[in-house]
Amino acid sequence: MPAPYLLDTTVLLHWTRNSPQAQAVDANFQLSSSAMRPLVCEVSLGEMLAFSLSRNWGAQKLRRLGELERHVVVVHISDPGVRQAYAELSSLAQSSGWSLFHGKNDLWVGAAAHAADAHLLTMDTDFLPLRGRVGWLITVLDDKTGLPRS
Amino acid sequence: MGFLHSSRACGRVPTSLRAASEVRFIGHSGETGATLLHFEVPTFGSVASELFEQRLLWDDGPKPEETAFELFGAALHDVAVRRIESNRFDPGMLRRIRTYQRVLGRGIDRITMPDTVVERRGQIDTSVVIAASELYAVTPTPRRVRVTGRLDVMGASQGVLKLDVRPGEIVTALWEGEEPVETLREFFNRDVVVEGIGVFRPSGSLLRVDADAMGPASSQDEFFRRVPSGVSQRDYHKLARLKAGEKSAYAQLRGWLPSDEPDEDFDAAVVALR
Repeated sequence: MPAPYLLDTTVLLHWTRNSPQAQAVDANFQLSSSAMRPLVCEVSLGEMLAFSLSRNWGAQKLRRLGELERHVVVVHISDPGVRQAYAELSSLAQSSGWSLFHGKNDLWVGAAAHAADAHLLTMDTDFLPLRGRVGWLITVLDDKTGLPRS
Repeated sequence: MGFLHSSRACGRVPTSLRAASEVRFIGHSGETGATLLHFEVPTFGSVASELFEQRLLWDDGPKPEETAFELFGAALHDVAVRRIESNRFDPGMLRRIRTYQRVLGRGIDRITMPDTVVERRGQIDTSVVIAASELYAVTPTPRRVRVTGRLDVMGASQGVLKLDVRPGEIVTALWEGEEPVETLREFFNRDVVVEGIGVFRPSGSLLRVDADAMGPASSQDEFFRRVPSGVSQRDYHKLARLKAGEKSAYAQLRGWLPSDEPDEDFDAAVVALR
């Protein structure tokens, strides 16, 4: 059984809008026919809510946002495995001088994917240095096209 | 569950327990936006008084004035607050609570029990179903265990045994052996070794042993004089897996939050989020 995908906030936003980028992601990863539920870091739910406030979403859309949790598996940052992965990733990013170190939410999302042994789909180029690293399964997507960056 | 620490009764269920769980539907009425279903259910004390004649086998067990609804409500409450050390639910009950997802997906927001006492009132809604799924996923798989201890308590009508393993360490077992529990009488207050399937709580601590064998303990059994524990780990792969016949979650979420705003505006807002 392949690893489940953990969707970063931006990918989840595109997916739930069914944007052209989401269609490209589906064509590449066949998510619509996946036998797995998407994994989502708890932090992304907060970011989605912040996005909804900044975009002045109406009551109905906010209700649907609340119901989104029913269809995903939330990886909580209180999970001891996630906390440990956060500490290790933060330390690695700092010592390597990666810009990822400054994006604390990104560190939590990365840690959640690592602890859950999931394949992270993200549009954040800060994750590029982690690609191909042992123990990490990450695809960084182009935010304009939704296609994997080379 | 309240009397046996098991949501699945095995073998002959005592008449009193059967009577206590007899719930009779007697009608329904409507309110704005809600449907009230009326049931008749006896209090435990009225149909199973003998269960209370001796000291209850569980400190947090049912009370004579309570009904099956109070018991179920208390279990739902523990699930909702993710009480990982609870005695009120087991993996089987968590699995059954998860099945309410189907009902909740068909226009029902929640199921409540308004006539139960407030402090033990639970309800079934999406958050409880999610909590049940999460608790189930982290609950260690039952495994065969062997425990040595003194047979301190025997509840004949319920088939419940209590083993005094060490001072302050007690193991609860349900007798599921082929012979009636009465045949274990000779072991009462003696050191025994019990074998069976260990059922664990989400925390990994032992909830009960479904025991199927018992014999006198020998010096070699001293190694097993300890409470077995399970390895608790959140299995995200297991949590993510769809059940047979379940609709694709990705397909359902695709376009879940549609918007009329132009793609360019949306893209810019998403980029600004990072």
